[in-house]
Amino acid sequence: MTGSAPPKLHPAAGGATHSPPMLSQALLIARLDLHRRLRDRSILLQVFLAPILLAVIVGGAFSGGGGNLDATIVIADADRTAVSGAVGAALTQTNTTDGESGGVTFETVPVANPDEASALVDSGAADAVIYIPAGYTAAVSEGEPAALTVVGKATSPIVTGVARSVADGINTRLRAQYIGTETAVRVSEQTGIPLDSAQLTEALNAEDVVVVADSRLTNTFNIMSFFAPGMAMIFLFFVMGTTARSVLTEQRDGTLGRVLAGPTPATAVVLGKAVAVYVLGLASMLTVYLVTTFAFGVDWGDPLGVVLVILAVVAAITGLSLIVTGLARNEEQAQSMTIIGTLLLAVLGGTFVYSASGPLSQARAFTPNGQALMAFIDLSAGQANWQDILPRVGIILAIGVVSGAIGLISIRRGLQP
Amino acid sequence: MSNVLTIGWFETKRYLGDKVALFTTVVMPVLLVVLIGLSFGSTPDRLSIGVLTEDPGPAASEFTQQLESANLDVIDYTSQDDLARDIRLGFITAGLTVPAGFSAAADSPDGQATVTMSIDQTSANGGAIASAIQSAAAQFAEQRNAVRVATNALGTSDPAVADAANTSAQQVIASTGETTVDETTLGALNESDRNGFASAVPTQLTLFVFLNGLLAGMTLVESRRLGVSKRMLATPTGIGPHILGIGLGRWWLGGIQAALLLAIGALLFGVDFGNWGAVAVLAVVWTALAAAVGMLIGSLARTADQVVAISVPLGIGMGMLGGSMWPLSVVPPFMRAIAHATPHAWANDAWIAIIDGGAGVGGIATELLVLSAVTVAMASLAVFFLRRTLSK
Repeated sequence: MTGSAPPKLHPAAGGATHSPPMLSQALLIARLDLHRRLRDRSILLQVFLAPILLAVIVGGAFSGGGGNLDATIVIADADRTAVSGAVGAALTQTNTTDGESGGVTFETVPVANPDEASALVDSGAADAVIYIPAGYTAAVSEGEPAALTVVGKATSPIVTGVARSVADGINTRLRAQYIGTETAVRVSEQTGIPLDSAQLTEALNAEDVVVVADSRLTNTFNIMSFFAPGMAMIFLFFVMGTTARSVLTEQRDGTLGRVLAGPTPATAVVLGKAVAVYVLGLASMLTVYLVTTFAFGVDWGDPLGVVLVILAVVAAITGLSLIVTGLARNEEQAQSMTIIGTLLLAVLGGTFVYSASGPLSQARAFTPNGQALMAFIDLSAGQANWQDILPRVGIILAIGVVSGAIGLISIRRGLQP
Repeated sequence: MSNVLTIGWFETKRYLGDKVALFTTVVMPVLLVVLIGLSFGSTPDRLSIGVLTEDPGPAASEFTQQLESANLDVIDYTSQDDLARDIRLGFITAGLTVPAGFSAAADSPDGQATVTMSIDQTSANGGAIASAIQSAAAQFAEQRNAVRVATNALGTSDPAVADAANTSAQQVIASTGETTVDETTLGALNESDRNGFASAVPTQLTLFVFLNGLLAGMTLVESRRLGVSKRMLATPTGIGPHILGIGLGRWWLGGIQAALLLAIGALLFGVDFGNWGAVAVLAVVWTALAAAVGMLIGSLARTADQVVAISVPLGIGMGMLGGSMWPLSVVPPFMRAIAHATPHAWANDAWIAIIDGGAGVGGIATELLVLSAVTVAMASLAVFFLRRTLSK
């Protein structure tokens, strides 16, 4: 080894360093390798185009607010009293009027019996029905037992559940009116304080003890900022398998042997190829980041944090690709190991599965791309800043350093004559 | 014909000897099906709400318990940032913050306890979830509200009156008839609503059989590189049987993969696939289509690397578009229209018709026709391009 001495500062060069021979050799190899790769259009397709295209598909698929309910709940009123009418009117008032799609729309329909209510669901006119039976309000206002009926479809349990909550709300509200009034009357009788009906109405209409305030979160998360980096990392790993193949191809063709016969150490060759892969990976991830940000308006969060995660995860993927290079004995093996590794990372890292629960959410933490995805989510959806995601960056880098070291050692061993 | 079968048989034998290929064909799809099936499970039946309780008092915990019984799936959070993140991600429908001092305010004679519901600005579910929370809040505060109404109506803040009101409210509540909600549901649950694997198995089958079919193009490229294809051109066998043979090998392999996934779905995860005749026909047509597209790519690509570079983005992209990664029922209509430019969408439609609609072969005739036509077109194009490439 020629380059093991630490680099010395050259005073005359104003602090510039003289690259030790091995490093400059490695950089030269990196430059040549990069140049060669960038001529390959299929690599360009995989690292630059494919992640963006797939992210666009995802963006289109979820552009309609996929998480929103889109349902009609009908208040089927067989009671037909002023109170039941007011209940229906209050609910229809909550309908969104700005033409925005999705959400629950309430309608009121007078019916004569429960069968007519069920028919509304059966015919598809309603996704769920809240049936107010005749005599309902009379019973509630007397403190008698009373029941509403919700009719829903077995296939849309969430809508049925929402209708049930609304029906619970109607029950609770009317019941509270009775209980409040009755309590006030009894206390008035006990204490002899006269009860004024206007004051009672005011008290009944006053706000409850518990008030629910509504707050809207700004900075809406774009699902593209989950899938774009996820896909980019997977394709990156895929392309990085080519490091292994390029070393093995050169070994097979004899060019590597010739290089190693000269003064170039094996470490410089491998390091050079790793640097090339790292630069390519960095360019890929940064392109995806910039294109989705500027062309599609995706907010990835704190830019410094995003760049840190990208730097770390590209290092980790480079490290893993070095392991493949070290372990594969021929090109076919390298190809197979890359495919398996990619698919495993994609599955375990949760690239394809957008979900918070299940075993996948745990598996994610054990893969560098999964950790990076979580960091990206923290930055974009969680609005974390770069300091918050440093622990994840540390884990990702550690994976890179450990796998890179293992890879380099096994490659050097393989290259020894 | 026997030539085709012979080539097909050798292709299959060669492939089965490759352990890594077996891993991608067999282990990976099974692993994915299990993970996806477990992650999504069955269709959720309640809206989920994340609750962050900043108040350690008894009233706060009483309130959150009330939420549990209000038809909401309550998930506890300890950080506002995590709560906001998961709302934005759509993992929970809304968040609810019970602030410090909630219990004290709820229990004071004239205090007001405010809980904050957070929801994404683009969400249209706000009204639905707000009514559920309000209902839970009103039930929680039933007695407190009654006391408040009585003291306000009588215009007094005398603690003795409040005490009397408290006792009266308790009595009134005890003697008031229960108000209830009866629930009836019409129709039956679909198999895929009940069992997460009922959608995971067919969608992953569509995705992986197709992807493996595409990668089969590598075999054809290799055979061209080694000169096998050119030599075939010179033999009486000809190029048609050669490409059909290689395709047939992949067809069988796709069949094995499909059969394995279906068997695991039915035997291990209890998926009821309904009409097995329709299942078999659809699987056979789909595996043929995948092999045909693979042959087309194999006749066009110059190197095995190119096959991989094209196949993986194409396989994943078409899977995404065509409803193999999420159901097409959740995407907007224009995306659903675009989706049907991929064979995946037709295949997934057919799977849904079989599993949820109980369709037989007749019920998926349109889909089968489209898929068969695509298969024939792809295979013909493959033969055409391979012949052209080889004659150069």
